[in-house]
Amino acid sequence: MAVYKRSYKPYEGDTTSNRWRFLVLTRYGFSGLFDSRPFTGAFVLSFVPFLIGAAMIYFAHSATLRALLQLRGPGPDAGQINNYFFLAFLGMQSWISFLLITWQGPQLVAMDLANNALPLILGRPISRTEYVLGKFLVIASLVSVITWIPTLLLFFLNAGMAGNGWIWSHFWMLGSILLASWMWIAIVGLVALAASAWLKWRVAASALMLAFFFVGPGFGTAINATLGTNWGHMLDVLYAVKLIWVGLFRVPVSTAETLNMLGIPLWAAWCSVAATCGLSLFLLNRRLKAREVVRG
Amino acid sequence: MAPVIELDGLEVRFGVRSVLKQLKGQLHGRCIGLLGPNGSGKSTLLNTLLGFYPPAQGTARIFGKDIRTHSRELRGLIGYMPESDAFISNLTGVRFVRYMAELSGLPSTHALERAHEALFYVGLGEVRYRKVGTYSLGMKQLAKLAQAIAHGPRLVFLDEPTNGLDPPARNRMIQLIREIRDAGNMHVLISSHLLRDVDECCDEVIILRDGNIAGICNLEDERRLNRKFLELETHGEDSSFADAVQQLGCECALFGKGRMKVVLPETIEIRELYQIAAQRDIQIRRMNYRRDSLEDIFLKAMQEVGARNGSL
Repeated sequence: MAVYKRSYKPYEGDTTSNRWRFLVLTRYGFSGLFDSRPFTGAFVLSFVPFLIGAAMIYFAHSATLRALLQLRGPGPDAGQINNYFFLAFLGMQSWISFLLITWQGPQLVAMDLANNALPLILGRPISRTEYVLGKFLVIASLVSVITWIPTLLLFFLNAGMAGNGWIWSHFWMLGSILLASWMWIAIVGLVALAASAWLKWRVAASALMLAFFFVGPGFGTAINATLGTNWGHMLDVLYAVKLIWVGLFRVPVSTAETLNMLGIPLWAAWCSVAATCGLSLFLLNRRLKAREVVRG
Repeated sequence: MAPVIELDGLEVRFGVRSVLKQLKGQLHGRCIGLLGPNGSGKSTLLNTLLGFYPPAQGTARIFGKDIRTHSRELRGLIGYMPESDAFISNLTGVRFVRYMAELSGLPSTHALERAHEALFYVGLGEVRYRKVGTYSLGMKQLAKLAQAIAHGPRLVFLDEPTNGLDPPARNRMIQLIREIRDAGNMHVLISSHLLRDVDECCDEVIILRDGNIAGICNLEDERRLNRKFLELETHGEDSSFADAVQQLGCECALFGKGRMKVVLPETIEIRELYQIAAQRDIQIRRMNYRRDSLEDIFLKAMQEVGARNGSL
């Protein structure tokens, strides 16, 4: 604008829909994450297991390729692309997403709190719920792209290559993949937001997040050892997640037993996950306020 | 004229402590000053009007809309500049203001355009691509003002806008507030404990003390009223001058040595006093409007509330 034209003008244009306005938070959250080149690089690398998985499926179904490579000895065959394969792939992708979210996730809220920008945001037509939803969607989208979307792509790739009604006999796995992934997204997303809401310093929030996932199991093991019980696993949310996944992917009881995955009942694992999500939401509700009120 | 802000028995409590007590009143001004000593409830009132604190009793209306039921709609009409630092340090100035404008409902392209305009307007055009975290205190204040006006609100809340500014930056901020007041269809509510800031910008003030309204005063009316009171210093035969002025229809009081006070009726112009003085060969050496300063108004309001509380 030319200096001589510098004067205040009222805005008379259109406005966006109130209902979807929280997506502005998501958009800016994404752009903030991908401002970091190392993070973008790591995000791209997170697709390497997907490419390997796709290659394995193709390899397992392509006799021609195996003949061309003159493969000798046992290689992956079509029968090995089963629930264990998808469970392992989803598990690996979940770990990768966990590392990425621990690295950059806490900045989503911490940057707003560090310099007191929350009153500016909540002073606009955005509610606290929408604020959390907008930020959560950043994590949910990111983790989705790393976890259930590639897993489903591999599932359909295998279904296409296997033919003979494989998809119908394994149709239940679609629900397992989605449920397992969204449970993971809820836990990681809410814990990351809660940690960053309580510690404005991003690095400290990342450390708190790591501590939550790895100190809890330590306490749980100590309780188990001291009291001679298995209920200490309730404090280990990762154990609870694994236990639920084992159930969702219909891993036989004998196999689960050998993996020491039957320490607590399934309902207790669900309770542990629900408690983690509930606690995170409680902490977010306590912390994310436009103004602190000193009661007296 | 419909009030900009109407307080209807508004009460806000933090726990058992009443911070705002049954506030009642109407504010009509283009630029309204919210005055009061520290801890009187100024910021709490702003935050309540923004919907940050729920009223315990009563309510308030902005442009006729109830803050209890139309909070979201109202926040779209309001721009807010908080007292303390409030920014996102890793965003550039233009990105920060654009982000805030988009959250207020502007489409992305319009928000970008308005962000550039707002930053140029407040004088941050040259530094708009620098990260807000690197701005000086004065620049951060201006960035806060830019984000408050970028979406073209109908009402802007400015909470201590000159806090921490050096004199040139303060003058610039006051100048901007006046321009905003005069330029658009925007009302301004300035919360401050600096009477000078309010005096220079506002046409109406509401004074709070201990969560009560100590007074609401229309400064424009007050100034118009003051225009009738003149303090004169003359050289020459002042008694004959005083007689002539009284015959003209003015009230007049002499204080000796040519000093006098005159109350002008609406119909009489100052020019006529000069004509009388010229006819009687009297020199008018000094002529002042009596000025009830905002400080007088403020102190009077404080004393009245103090006396009322004392008598209870």
